[in-house]
Amino acid sequence: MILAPPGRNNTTAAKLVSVIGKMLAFSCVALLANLRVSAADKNDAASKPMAISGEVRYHFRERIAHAKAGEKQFSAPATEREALPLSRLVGSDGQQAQVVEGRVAHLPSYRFAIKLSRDEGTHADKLEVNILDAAGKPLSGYPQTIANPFADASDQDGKEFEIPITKYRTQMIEKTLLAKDQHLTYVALVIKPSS
Amino acid sequence: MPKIPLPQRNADGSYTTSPAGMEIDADGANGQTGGVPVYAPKGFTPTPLDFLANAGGPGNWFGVVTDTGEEDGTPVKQNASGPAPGAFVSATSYRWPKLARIDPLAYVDAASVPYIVLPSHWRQEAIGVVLGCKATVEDTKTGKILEAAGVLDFGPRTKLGEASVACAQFFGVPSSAKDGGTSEKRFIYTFFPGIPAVINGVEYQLQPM
Repeated sequence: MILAPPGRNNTTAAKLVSVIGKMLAFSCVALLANLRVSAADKNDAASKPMAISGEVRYHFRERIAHAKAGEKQFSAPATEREALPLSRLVGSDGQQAQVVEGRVAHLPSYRFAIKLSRDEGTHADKLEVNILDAAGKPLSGYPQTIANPFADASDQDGKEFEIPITKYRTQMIEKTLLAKDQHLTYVALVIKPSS
Repeated sequence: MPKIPLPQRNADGSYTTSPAGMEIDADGANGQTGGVPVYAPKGFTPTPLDFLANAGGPGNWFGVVTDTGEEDGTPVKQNASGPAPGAFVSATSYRWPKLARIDPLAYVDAASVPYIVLPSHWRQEAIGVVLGCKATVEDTKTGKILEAAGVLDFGPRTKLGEASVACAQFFGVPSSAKDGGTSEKRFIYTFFPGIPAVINGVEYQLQPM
C-alpha cells in the first residue's frame, strides 16, 4: 500500500491510488487485447494467399492506312481485354486458395480454372492454371503449375499464359471483336495480384 | 469498333485527350542503349520484350523490318555490328531519315525513350505535323507529369492510351509489353503538332505525311 505524505487524508489518497490502479489495469488489458487481435489478423493474413485477378488479352496490329512506301505499315501492337470473375477464397484439406473460375465472351467454349494456393505446412504458394475446352479436356500444354510468380512484391507485372486458338476462332475474334484491317496476333491469359 | 475522335484543338494549337489507360509499346527497342531487344528468333537470350507472335511469322512479318519492306519478305536480323546481334529489327513510325530502313539505330528505342502512341488517323486529321512532335503526359492519380515526351509511333484507330516502355517506367506502371500496362483511365496525353520533341537532350525531326 502506498502511504500518503504526513498531514494528508490517508483515506482520500488510498481512493485516488485505487482509481489510478484500476485505470492502469484496464489500459493494460485493452492494450493486450489489441495486440492479440492484431497478431491474429497478421497470422490470418499470413495463412491466406493473396487475391488475384485474371483477364484474357487479345493482341492485335492494324494496317496503317495511307502509310507511304518505306514507312512502318502496321500499327504498334494493342490489346482488347476481357476480365474473368474476381478470385474467391476457398479452404479445404488444410489448404487455403484463391480461385478464379469462369469464361469470357470471345472464347465461349473455353473454361478457365486458376488457383493460387498456400500449403499450411510449408507455407509455399503455387499457381495452378488450367484451360478446358467444351468437352472439359485441358487444352494442349495445360494444366500448368508454377511457384507463386507474385511472391516478389516489387514485381508488379502479371504472369502471362499463351492461349492456343484455332484458325476459325481467330477469324471469329477478328470479325466480332476487332475492326477492319486489324489482325489478331496473339491471345494470352494474364494473371495479376488483385489490388 | 468506332475510331477514336481527334480531341478539340486547344488555343495554343495542342490537343489534349480525355483520361485513358496506358498500354505498353516496345516497338523500336533494338538494344540501342544496351537493353533487351523486343523481337528475336526463338531461342534468343535474354528473352525478348514481346511475344514473337506480335512480330508475325513466315510469310507475314507485319511487326518487324523485312528485306523487301513487305510482310512476305525475310525479317532483317541485326549483324555483328548491331546493338543486339541476331535480334530482329523493330520499327517505330518515327525513323531517323538519314539512316537506312534496315538499320536498327534508325528507330526509337522504346526501352529508353519516353514516347506516346496515338491513333494513326490523328496524323492526318490534326493541324500541324504530328510525327516527331512534342508531347506531355499527366498522371491524374499521382499528379506526376512527364514534360519531355514525343509522338513517335502510331497505334490502331480504335485505341487510345499507349506509350513506350520508358514512359510506363517513368510513371511506375508495369512496363512489360507482354503483360504490363493499366486500363485505369488516369493518363491525359497532350501533343503539340509542329513543335519538335526534345527528349534526353535529343531533338526529333518533324515528319510530315
